[in-house]
Amino acid sequence: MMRSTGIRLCLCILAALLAFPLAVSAFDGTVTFGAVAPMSGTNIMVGDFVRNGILLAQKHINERGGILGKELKIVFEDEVDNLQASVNAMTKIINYPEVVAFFGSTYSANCIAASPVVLQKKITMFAGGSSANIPKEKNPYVWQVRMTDDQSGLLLAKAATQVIGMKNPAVLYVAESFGTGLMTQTVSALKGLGIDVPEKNLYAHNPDEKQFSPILTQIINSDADGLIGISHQMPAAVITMQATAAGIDIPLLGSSSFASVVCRETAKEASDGWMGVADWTPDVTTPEGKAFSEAYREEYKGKPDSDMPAVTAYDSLMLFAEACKIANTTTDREAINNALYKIKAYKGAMSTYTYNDNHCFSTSQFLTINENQRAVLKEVVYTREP
Amino acid sequence: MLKIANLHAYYGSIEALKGIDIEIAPGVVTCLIGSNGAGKTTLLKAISGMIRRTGSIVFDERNELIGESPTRIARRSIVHVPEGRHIFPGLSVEENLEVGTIAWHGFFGRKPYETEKRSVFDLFPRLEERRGQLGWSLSGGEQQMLAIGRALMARPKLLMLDEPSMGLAPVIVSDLFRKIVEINKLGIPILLVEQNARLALEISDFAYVLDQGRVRIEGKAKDLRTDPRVQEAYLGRFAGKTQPN
Amino acid sequence: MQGLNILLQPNVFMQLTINGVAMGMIYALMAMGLILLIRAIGVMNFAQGELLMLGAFITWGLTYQVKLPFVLMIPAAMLCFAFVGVVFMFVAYWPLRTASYPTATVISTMGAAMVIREIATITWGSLPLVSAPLVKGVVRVGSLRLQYQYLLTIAIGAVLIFLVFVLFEKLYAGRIMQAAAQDKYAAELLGIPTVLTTAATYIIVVTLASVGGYMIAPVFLVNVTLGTLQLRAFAGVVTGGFGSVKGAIVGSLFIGLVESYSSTFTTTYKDAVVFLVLIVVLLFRPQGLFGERVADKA
Repeated sequence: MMRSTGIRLCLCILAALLAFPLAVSAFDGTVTFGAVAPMSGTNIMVGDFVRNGILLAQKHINERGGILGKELKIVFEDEVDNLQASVNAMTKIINYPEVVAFFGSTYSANCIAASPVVLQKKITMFAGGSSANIPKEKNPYVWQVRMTDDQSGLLLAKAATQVIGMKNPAVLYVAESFGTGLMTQTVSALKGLGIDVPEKNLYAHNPDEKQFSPILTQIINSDADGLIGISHQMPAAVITMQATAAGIDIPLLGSSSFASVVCRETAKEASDGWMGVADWTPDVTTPEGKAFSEAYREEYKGKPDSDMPAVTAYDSLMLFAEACKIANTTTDREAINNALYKIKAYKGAMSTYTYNDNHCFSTSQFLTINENQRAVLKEVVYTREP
Repeated sequence: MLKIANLHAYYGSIEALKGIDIEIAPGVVTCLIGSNGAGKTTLLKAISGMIRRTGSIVFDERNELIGESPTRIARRSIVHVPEGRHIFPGLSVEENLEVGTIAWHGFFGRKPYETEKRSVFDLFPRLEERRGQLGWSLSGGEQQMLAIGRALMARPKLLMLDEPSMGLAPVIVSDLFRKIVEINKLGIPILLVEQNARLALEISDFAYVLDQGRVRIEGKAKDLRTDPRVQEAYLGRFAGKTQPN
Repeated sequence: MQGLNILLQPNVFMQLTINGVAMGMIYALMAMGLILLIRAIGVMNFAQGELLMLGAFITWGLTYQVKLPFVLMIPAAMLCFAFVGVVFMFVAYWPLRTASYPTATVISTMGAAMVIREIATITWGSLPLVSAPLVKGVVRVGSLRLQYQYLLTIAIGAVLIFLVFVLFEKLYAGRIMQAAAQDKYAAELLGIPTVLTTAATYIIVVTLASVGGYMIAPVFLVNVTLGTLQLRAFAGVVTGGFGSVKGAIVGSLFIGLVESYSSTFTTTYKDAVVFLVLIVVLLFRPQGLFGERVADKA
C-alpha cells in the first residue's frame, strides 16, 4: 500500500542518515600531538605563526586520512615570554598522558631548560630553536628541524665565494654570543674554502649600535670586494639603510636577519639588493616550499605571509607523522623516537630532511635576494647531501 | 606716601610682625632701627611682597599693596635693595645696571636708559671705572654701590635699603651714607633699615624703633637721637664713631 | 677595523670628520641645554636624552600620523616642544625647588626620563619607526660622498646654537634670563617674573634637544633607545669645562670627532675611548678646555 511504502522510505532515509556519520568517520581512533607557543606577552606574533603552522599541518594530515588511520588532535599550551612560563608549559604538555610527541619552544634557551624533563619522561620533542647548544645536551629525545647556527656559517661562506664570487670580504658582526659565534664559523669556513680574512676586515659592533657610518666609510674605502653582515633584525635594518645612504656598491650578503620581515619593512628600498642565507622566505620556489607557502596564504588570507616559526612547526608535525608511519605505531613513544633515526631525504617545506648525529634534520637553507622588499629565492644551499 | 596699618607678617606659622603702624612721608629719609631679629628686614620684605602678610599697606593714598605680587609691587617703582647686596655675579657692572630697568623697560622694549646710567655713574664714579668687570670680582663696598645703582636704574618712587653698612669698613660706610643723602636730595624718598643706629639717625628725618615685631618708639630722628631710651639701648654700642657730612 | 693609518686617506678623513662634526652638533645641542639648566636652575638634567628622543617621536608623529606638510609641521612641532618644556618644568622641577636635598631635583629628572620613555613606548609602540631625511642622498665632491642629512645637521645645529648664543649674550631679554638664573631673590625684587624666565629656559632647552632628535632620526631610526646619546653630551660638557656654554659646544664637537676617528681601531669599545679621552683631558686640565669659574666674592 502507498502508506506503508512511504513509511518504509522514511525509515530507510532515517537509517541512512544515522549511518552516514559512522560511514564518513574513516578515522579509527585519535593520536595527540602537543605544541607550545607564545600566546600572550611580547612574542605573540611568533605564537601566531606557530599556531597557524601546526593547525595547517593538522588539516593537511587529517585530509589525507590522519596518521595510520587515526585522527590527529592537537593540544596547545601558552609559553608566554619568559623562561619559567615556557618550561611550565612544556612540562604540562609532557604530562598529558595522551600526548605522544610535541613541538617545543621557538627559543633555544627554553628548549635547553626543558631538556631534563623531556629526558626523564622519554618523550620526543621537536625544538623550535636553532642554537648549536641544543645538540650539546645529547638528549636522544630532542630533535631540531631548523639549521643550527654553526652550520649557517658554512653556508654564508659558500654563498659568498661560490655564488657571489667574493675574494676579499669584509665582515660586520654583532659583538655578542650569536654574532661572534657565527662570525667565527664563517671565517673558518672561508678559510677552508681558500679565503683568508685579515683582522682589519673584521668589524664588530655593539648590539645597540646605531652609528654605522664610520665603519661603512672604512669598508667603502678599503679594498674589500664584498660585505658579509651578521646581526639581529633591527641593527640589520639600520645597517642596510646607512649602507645605501653611504652609497655602497659592493655585493652585500647577510645572515637571516637581513632577509627578515622586520628588516625589509623597516629599511624598505634600502634592503633591496642584499642577499641573505635564511631559514625561510614565503617567496620560495621549491615545489614543497611553494605548496606550503600558497596553502598558508590561502588558509590565512595572506595576513601576514608565512614566516620561519610557522614552517618550522609545520615541518615538525609532518616529520612526526612520517616517524609514526615508519614505526607503524601511534602509541609506542620509544618506537616513534627510534623511527626518527631512519628519516632520510624527506622533502619538507623548509628543507629536505635527513637524520644527522647531532639530531638536526635540516640539510639546507635558502640563499635569497631582496627585491622590491620581498626576499626572493636565488638558490638552495646545502651543508650536506640530503 | 606709604601708610602701613596693623601689619602682621609670617614666616610659615611664626608671626614675625605683630601689628605695625607706620607712615612713610614723601620725599624724606625714614629709618627703621632696632636689634637683630626685631623685624626690620621682615618689614621691608612685607612691603615688597616677598613674605605672607595681612593688614594694610597703602601706597600713594589709593593702591593697596596687600595681595599684590612682588613683580607687581616692583612695577610700582618700589625698589627693595636686599641685605647682602645680591648683585648678579656673572654679569658685568654695566649689565647689572641694565637689568635694573626691567620694571619699566619690558622684556623686548627698546627704551633708552642712558640718562639713568649716566646719573648712576656720576653718583658712583668707581662703578664707571669698573663698568666692564664681572660682579663677583668687585669689593664689598663696590658691590653695595652697584646694588644701589641698580636700584636707581629702576626709577624708584621709594627706595628701600636693607643694612647697607653690613660688612663694610667704616671709611667706606661713611662715604656710602654721604651718597645716600645725595640720592635723597635728588628727590627720592628712602626707607633705611640699619643696625648702625647712630649713622641711621644722623641722616634720617624720621625714625621708628622696632623691637620683637612691634614699634616701640617713633618720631623725628633728631628727637630720637637725644631720647634716653634710644641712647641706652642702641647708641651706646656705637659711641664715638663716624659722622656724615 | 682598518687601523688609524686609514685616516691618511683624504677621503676617509674627510668623511669621518663630517660624520664626527655632525654627531658633535647633536651632542652640542643637548649639551647646551644641559648647561643652560645647570646655570639657570642648578639642575643636572638626566632626562636630556629622552627629550631628544621625544622630539624625534613628536616630529615623526606630526609628519606621518597627523600628516602635516613640512611648512605646517615646523610651527606645530615648536608648539609641542614649548608644551613639553612647560610640563617638564612643572612636573619634574617645580614641586621640588625648595626641597632640602638639592639632589632631589636630579633624581626627579631620572624618574622623568623613565616616564618619558614609557609614554613614548605606549604611544608609538616598541618597534623603531622610519623617518625620511630632509634631503635624501649624497653630494659628491670629487670622490667624496657626503650625506646631505649630515651636512644639514651641521648647518641647522650651528644656526640654532648661534641663535641661542646671541639671545643670551647680546639681547636684553637674555640678560634678564641670566640675572634670574644667577640670583633669583634679587631678580624677583627687581620685578623679573622668574617663573616666566625659568619656563622660557626650559622651552629653549627642550627645543634644542628636540631639533637634535629630529635631525638624527632619519639616520638612526626613531626609537626609545635614542636617549642613550645623552652620555656623549655629558662627556662634551665636562670636557669643555663645566658651566661654560662655549666649552660645552666645543667639547661636544670634540667628543663627536673622537668617536668618529676611534672607529678606525675599535667599534665595540667606542664608549671607553671617549671616556678615556675625557679622563686624559681632565688630568691635564681639570677645569676642562674652557673652564670658567664664576665665584661669589664678599
